[in-house]
Order: sequence, then structure tokens, then C-alpha cells
Amino acid sequence: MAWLRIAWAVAQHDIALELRRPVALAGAGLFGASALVTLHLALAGSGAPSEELAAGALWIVLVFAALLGVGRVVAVEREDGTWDALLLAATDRSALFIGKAGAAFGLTLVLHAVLVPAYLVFFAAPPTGTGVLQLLAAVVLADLGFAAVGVLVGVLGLRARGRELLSATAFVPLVMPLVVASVALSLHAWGAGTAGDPTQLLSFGLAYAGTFLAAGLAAVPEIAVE
Amino acid sequence: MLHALDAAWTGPALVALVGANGSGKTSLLRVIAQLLEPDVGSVRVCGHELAGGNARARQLVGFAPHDPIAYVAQSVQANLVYAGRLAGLRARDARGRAHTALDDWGLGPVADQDPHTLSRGWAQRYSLARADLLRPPVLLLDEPTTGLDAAARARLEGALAAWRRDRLVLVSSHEQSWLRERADHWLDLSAPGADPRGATGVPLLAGSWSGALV
Repeated sequence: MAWLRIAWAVAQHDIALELRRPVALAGAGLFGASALVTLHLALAGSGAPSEELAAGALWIVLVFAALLGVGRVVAVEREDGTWDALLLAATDRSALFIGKAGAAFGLTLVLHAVLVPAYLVFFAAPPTGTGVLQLLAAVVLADLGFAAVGVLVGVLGLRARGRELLSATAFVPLVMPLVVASVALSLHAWGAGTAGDPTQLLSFGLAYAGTFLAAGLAAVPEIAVE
Repeated sequence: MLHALDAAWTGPALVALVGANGSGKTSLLRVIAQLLEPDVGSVRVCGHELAGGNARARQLVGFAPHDPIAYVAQSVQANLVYAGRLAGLRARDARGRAHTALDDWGLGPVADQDPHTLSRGWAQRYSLARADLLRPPVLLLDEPTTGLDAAARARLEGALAAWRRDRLVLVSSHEQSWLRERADHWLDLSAPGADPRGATGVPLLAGSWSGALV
């Protein structure tokens, strides 16, 4: 029970901290808005973008906005010098990973809940019928994977030099399989899917997120201490 | 850098850790608090082996580092509540414990302030309150006297006098004369291959609490 209580406390604390000092949400939101405007201007005059272009552009915006958002839950501990506070917690340190990943998941969901509708207003007609659920499932599963990878990479980079670069260079390649699956699922949502079966793509997303959650649970207690 | 060391202490007692800069005083405290893993050797707290991390042992140790652990833009009270929650308390219990700590340590006037904006004396008081939040049987204090004025020092001395009656308190400090007057045991980490028995002439006892570093 203490494990769950502490994981919950970490997640709650990080979300409250971000809402009070919205560094990640403000930065990622600003990036997302800038990216949408840039895409809008770049594609102006070329007519309605194809579904492939629309789905690809959507996930470029989402993945980089997530990169800015998920890294923050670990970076704040480094900036405030409070990582020791977490290491002193009276539980297995895997609870810290789950708490951090939970907070990163929640914050990314909030961020994407704003960016996806904004994107649909600018670039593509909203999906209909089961397409809505498929797009929703793609975003939720991707956010779970982004959170697990982002926190794991963040903890790995806590004591590394050039950690900002490490986070970006490790995060993007690691989430690429998930992004490819999410793009394919988004195409199905718009009725233009040709690659894979939606159920298989959802299963892949779930397995991907589960794998990195398991990796974080196992690795963080080992790498959290100097 | 912490060199070869083999020591065991039992509480209640006040153990002084002294030594030159870089002799390993802070490293030793951080190893016992499980914030640092020794390259070799073993450490036990109340019979709990620390290798690989031991959550039960963390419940038994309170640590007050030289620079207080506190989140920026969060009040003293909120920081204490979160410390309680990280110790495994329910939110309501953590709030209650934080309230008690504010009273016990006279932190009421600064309860709503960010600990980073406090004077050294107030910040040190916050740090000690945080370490003592769950009344752990083992307390680790790293340079607790640095920058304290007379009133803050008197408060610290009062706390140490009370703690040494029922806890095991390890205190690191450069102020050897101040510490020598108060310590039950003495360990100079500057001495190569420091042996606490050699340093004090009094065998240190092994018992309910023990620590061993090699």
C-alpha cells in the first residue's frame, strides 16, 4: 500500500507543481501552436493536404510537444535539487518511476487534448464513427508510451553531461516505432488506412507502452542512485 | 572519497564525524541515507542490509543535509506535507504530522514561505524538522552549525541534547571543539584507515543499530 500511496503522491505533486508553475505546458503549448501556424502557412495554397500528410504532420506536432512535456517532470527535480527527496522515500524506488510516468502521462494528455482539436480545425475534417475512438485510442496509447520512455530517459540523463541533448536524441528514436503505429492508426481513423489492422496496431501500442513501463520499473531503482 | 572504514554504533548516542574537507564525512552520511552506493563494502541499519536499496531502512533514518531539501515556490508547510507523503503517510496524516512539526520547531511564522527565501537559521530549522518528521531512531546531520546565529545554535543544541537520550545521531562538522564537548563517540575520517576505537580509546558498541563500511 505504501508503494501505491507514494506513487500517487509523486504523480499528484508533479501535476500540482506544473499547474502552479506551468513551464512544461506553456513551453509545449507554445511549440504546438507555433508548429500548427507554420504548417498552416507552409501548406497554404496547396489545397487540402492528403490524409497521409495530415496524419504525419499531426504526429510530428504531438511527438515534439510530448518531448518538451514529459522531460519536465524529471528536470524539475534537478533544477530544484530535490531528487534526494524522492530517493529518501520509504518505498521501493520503482514507485517513483510510476509516479513520474503517471504525471507525465496526465500532462501529455492535457497538452494533446488541446493540440489535437486545434489541429483538426486547421488541417483535417474530424474523423467520424469508430474513427473518433481509433484516434482517441492512438493518442492515449502513444501518450502512455511517451510518458514511460520520457521518464526513463530523463532519469538516465540526470547525471549526464549534455542531458538536454541526450533526452532529445534518445527519446525520438525510441518512440519512433510507436509514432509509425500511431500514424497508421490515425489513417484508419480517417478511413484511409492501408497499413496494418487497427486492432493489431492498438495491441502494438499497448505492448510498446507496457514494455517501457516494465523497463522503467526494473531499471529506475538501479540507476536512480549515484 | 571515503576510505577504508569499519565501524558500528548503537543508540542512544551522539556520534561526531570530523575530518578535513574531502575526507568523506558527507559521503558517509549519504551512504547511510542511501543516497550514495559504496563501491565496495556493506552497511546495515538496525540489522537491515542497505545493498541495492532497502526501503525499510529508509523509514528508520532522517537526513538533514547541509543544503535543505525543498521544492522552489512551495511553502515550508507544503514541503513538510510532501515529505510525510513520501515517507508513506496518508495525505491527512502527513498534514497532521507537518502541523505538529511546525509547532515543535516554532516554524509557524514562516510556514507559508518558500524555504529557499529563509535565513540560514530558519532554513536549518526547517531542515531539522523535515529530518525528524517521523521521529526516526537514526538521525544524520551534515554540518548543522554552519551559519547559525546564537539563538539558532541554542535551539540546535537543545534538540541534540533531547535526541541523544533516545536516538542515534550522527553529526558531521568542522567545529571540532564544539562537537567534542557533546559527542559520546568520535570518528576522525582524516586519519588514514580511520579506526573509531583508536580515535576515541573507547570501544564503540554494536547492537540494535550498526553500520559497517569497508
